Amino acid sequence: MWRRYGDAFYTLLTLAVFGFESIALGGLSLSFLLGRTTGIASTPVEGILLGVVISTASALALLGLYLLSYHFVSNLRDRWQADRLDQWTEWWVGLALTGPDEPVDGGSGRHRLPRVAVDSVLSLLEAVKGEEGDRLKEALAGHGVDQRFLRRAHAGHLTARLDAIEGLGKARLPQAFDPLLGLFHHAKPVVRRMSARAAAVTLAAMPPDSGPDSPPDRFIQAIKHAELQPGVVQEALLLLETRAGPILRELLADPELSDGLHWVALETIGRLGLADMADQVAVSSDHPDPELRAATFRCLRRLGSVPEGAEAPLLHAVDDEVDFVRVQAAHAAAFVTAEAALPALEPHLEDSSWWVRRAAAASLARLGELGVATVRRAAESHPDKAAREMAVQILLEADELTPSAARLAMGVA
Amino acid sequence: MLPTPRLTDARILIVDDERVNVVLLERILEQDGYRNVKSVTDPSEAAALYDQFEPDLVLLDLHMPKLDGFAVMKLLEDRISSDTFLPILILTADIRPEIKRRALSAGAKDFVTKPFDRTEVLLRIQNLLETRFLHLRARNDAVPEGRAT
Amino acid sequence: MWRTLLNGYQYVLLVYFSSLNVLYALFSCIGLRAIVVVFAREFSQGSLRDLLERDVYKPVSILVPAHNEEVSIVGSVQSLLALQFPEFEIVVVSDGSEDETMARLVEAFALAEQPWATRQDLPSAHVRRVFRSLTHPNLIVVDKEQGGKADSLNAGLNMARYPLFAAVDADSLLDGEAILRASRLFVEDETLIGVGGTIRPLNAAVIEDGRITEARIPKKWLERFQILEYARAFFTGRAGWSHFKSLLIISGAFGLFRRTAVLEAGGFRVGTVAEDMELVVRLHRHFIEEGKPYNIRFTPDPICWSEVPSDLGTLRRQRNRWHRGLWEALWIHKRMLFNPRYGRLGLVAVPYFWIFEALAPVVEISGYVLVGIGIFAGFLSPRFAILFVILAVLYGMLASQLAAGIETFLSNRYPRLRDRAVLFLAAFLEFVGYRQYLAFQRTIATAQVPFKRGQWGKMHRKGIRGSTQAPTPADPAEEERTPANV
Repeated sequence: MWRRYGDAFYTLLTLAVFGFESIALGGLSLSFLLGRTTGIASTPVEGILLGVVISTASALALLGLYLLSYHFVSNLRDRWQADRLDQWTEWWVGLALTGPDEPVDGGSGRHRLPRVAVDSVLSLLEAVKGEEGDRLKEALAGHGVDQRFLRRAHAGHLTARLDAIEGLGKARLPQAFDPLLGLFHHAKPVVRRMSARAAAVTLAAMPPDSGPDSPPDRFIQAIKHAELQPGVVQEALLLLETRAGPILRELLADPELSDGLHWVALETIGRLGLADMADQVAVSSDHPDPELRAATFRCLRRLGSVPEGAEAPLLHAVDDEVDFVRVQAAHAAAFVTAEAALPALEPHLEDSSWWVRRAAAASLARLGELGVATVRRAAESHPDKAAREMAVQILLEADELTPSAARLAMGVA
Repeated sequence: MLPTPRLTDARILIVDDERVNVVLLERILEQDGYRNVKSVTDPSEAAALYDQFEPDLVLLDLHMPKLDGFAVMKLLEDRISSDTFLPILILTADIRPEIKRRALSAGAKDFVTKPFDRTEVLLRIQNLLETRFLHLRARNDAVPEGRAT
Repeated sequence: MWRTLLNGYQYVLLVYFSSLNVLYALFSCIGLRAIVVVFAREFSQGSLRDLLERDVYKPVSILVPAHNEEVSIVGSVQSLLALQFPEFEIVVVSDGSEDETMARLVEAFALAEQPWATRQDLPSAHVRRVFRSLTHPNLIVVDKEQGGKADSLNAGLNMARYPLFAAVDADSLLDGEAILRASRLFVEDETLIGVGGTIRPLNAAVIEDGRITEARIPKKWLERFQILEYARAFFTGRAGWSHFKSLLIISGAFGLFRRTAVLEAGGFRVGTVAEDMELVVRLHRHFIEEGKPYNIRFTPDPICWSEVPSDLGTLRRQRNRWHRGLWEALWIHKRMLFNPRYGRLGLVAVPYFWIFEALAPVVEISGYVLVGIGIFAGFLSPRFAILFVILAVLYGMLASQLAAGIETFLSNRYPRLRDRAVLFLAAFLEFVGYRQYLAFQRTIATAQVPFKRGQWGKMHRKGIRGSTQAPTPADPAEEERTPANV
């Protein structure tokens, strides 16, 4: 969004100029007021005024010159940067594919890698893994980049910290995992957020492990005890990709899991499609909190399976007093046996909530021949107009009706 | 009957907005012997380059500014006749299953998520090219002699 | 007697001029620093890529108020339906349209009438019918009696089901990515209730398939000046205030709000021309009075492109409306002025807007008038007067140049060097005529405030959706819009 070179200097320059101008203006006003009240002739004030005009004009010229030259310089620089990036990328790719020309040492004595080189290798690590990825990671460690990032992540200016944390996330270096977990307790929410993301992607790249005090376990503990917003936790869990399963299992197995984390876990399981966790998910089908009930059914719907033990509470929930719970339950009912679901869903074709009607009709249409027949019947002869129209719409979407026939049924021109 | 072209003579087109990914793929292919590789970082140029270059395989990124992978596939779809087998290999960091489904139904023949494994990618490319050449041969055999594709 | 009054007013003028510029400089610097240090370095390309490819977002209801928009409504809705956003719905509210707006919608999207749920969280003009599309289940169309834009938005809110909503202007190009970035902020911060993005003028940009492929500088100086104005307003003004946690304005063209928060505060206020600003001020007020934690912020990254007036007449009417709206919003919430109960807002932001935004054009024009009188009446040496005017103009140029500077540092700045040079030149020319003209118009607007409450005046709608070339300045298709209850 923003060019990050020369801008800091421009800001300082602007600050200086504006600051100076403010003082000059203040001085001018003061002298003017003093001059008038004490009856001094306006000539010295005019002199000051002239001075301020000249200084302002010069400031304008100075800043203008900076900007003009910046345009030319930045154009050139952009091209030069692109070339350098290419060069470094070639070098890194060569190293990744064929191995380093010389063994990489512990990082001491080597001069720092320029920023463009680090950016290049981090981008490459997003693209390639396996043997080549490992070589790049070794090279990073060899140049001491990980140490540099870790140092910067813990001290110094906020923006440098965030840069460093993000770099660690891209590099996915295992040695950075625990320090990142430590940052979950930082005072600033943005630091917490970035380290959660970075820790998650790092964990995802580490070899699978389990048991107490393993990396996944430490991750869980960190999440539970840190003050992270639910959205942040959700993002972190999603970033875990294949490693998320065991961690989510652990979380759900905890009887003292907070409601917030429980909700997040359900959402994540649904989005990641972890079908083998359906049983664990279904446990909260009758949770006192309607949000969690709804989240449970939404998750089951996404997983496409409703375990046997959960059928009864789910069908009961189709009659729940809270409308969004009914909606989710009705949607999930599509994955229950037809004989059980039909009688539960049919009355809700005329539910007071549009969304429940829609969910009920949609689920019926997915319950095989019997379900579609029920919807067709409703489309033709249900006493409630809204129910009829919803049935028609669902049949249309399920390709059981042509658009013209649907229009006809609805009486639309 | 035409001689079997060597796989490494195949023309490969890379479409990815990240310069770094392009260089990476070019070198990987080069190291494996492929010599006819062209690439483009501006997806709007992909169609024109396709017409000019007539690749045997397209390596395509999904999430690109201006024109995304799906749009590019649509453009290419309009250009290839129904009896041509043009393999498109999608390389993307997006792991969502619906994206994979969508890509495969939009015309992609294979799907690899980033970060990818070099050996695996090369294997997939090889398989796709073999299929492509088999297809070409079968088409050539069906055509009366004297005609080149 | 006159002389002493005029003399006294000179002091007032000078003090005002100095304070205005010092404060302006202060907030510009805060804003610029916030951009450079916080925004530019907090979100980088990498994290954006990650978030695009994950499921972290909140679904959005897009509200589209429409009055007699038969020309462009179908195109607008079509391009909205094509937005690259995972989950959203569109609620079109026809505000008593008497033309073919409804008919065209019914035809184009296979609308079928529905009995609508009795949820009426907000009062609105009578809703005649509600339609849903048979082909696009996420499209709702509401046909209601005329009540004005705010009333239509309220009716839309009654229908909306998603946790977030965005009210869309017909002549803005909405970007799915922009919404994604804005919606993500709500996931990360549960206390966030409103987000404003950046607006950049769309004129002369090259549009393909509903997306901007290249930004170009328009040929007219009028439009060029507006580019600078918007850059200044958003990147220094809004950024600064947001950083100071006192953002009072979120543009109607691109703002994302949490639906429950807005409902709690009472929805949009009918009978004011700046319902977007009034809403934000009221949100602040409501949450402060209720003692609930909240956050309203500006983020420069999501960019919305909007068509800006290309002829003097439309510009004049637009600025007239904006300034009257500013006064109305401030007046409605005058209780907040200098009221310590409202913290920074009451003590800094609101007074600033009263004194240095609402009154500024009046003072400016009076300054020029005074200088003229002073020279004429002889108690002001011409040299002094001229120098003073030059100083004022130079200061203005400094501010303009800051805007040109900001445009220089943007990643997606105008690609052609020539365009950027033109913009640089515009910074000098902006304050030699254009600004003074606007100040004059805004002074007139100030005088009209008591008489033209809630009136929109003539507006023209020139839809840009569905077109593959840049919009051309068109003849205004004039309509009077006066809400039913003024």
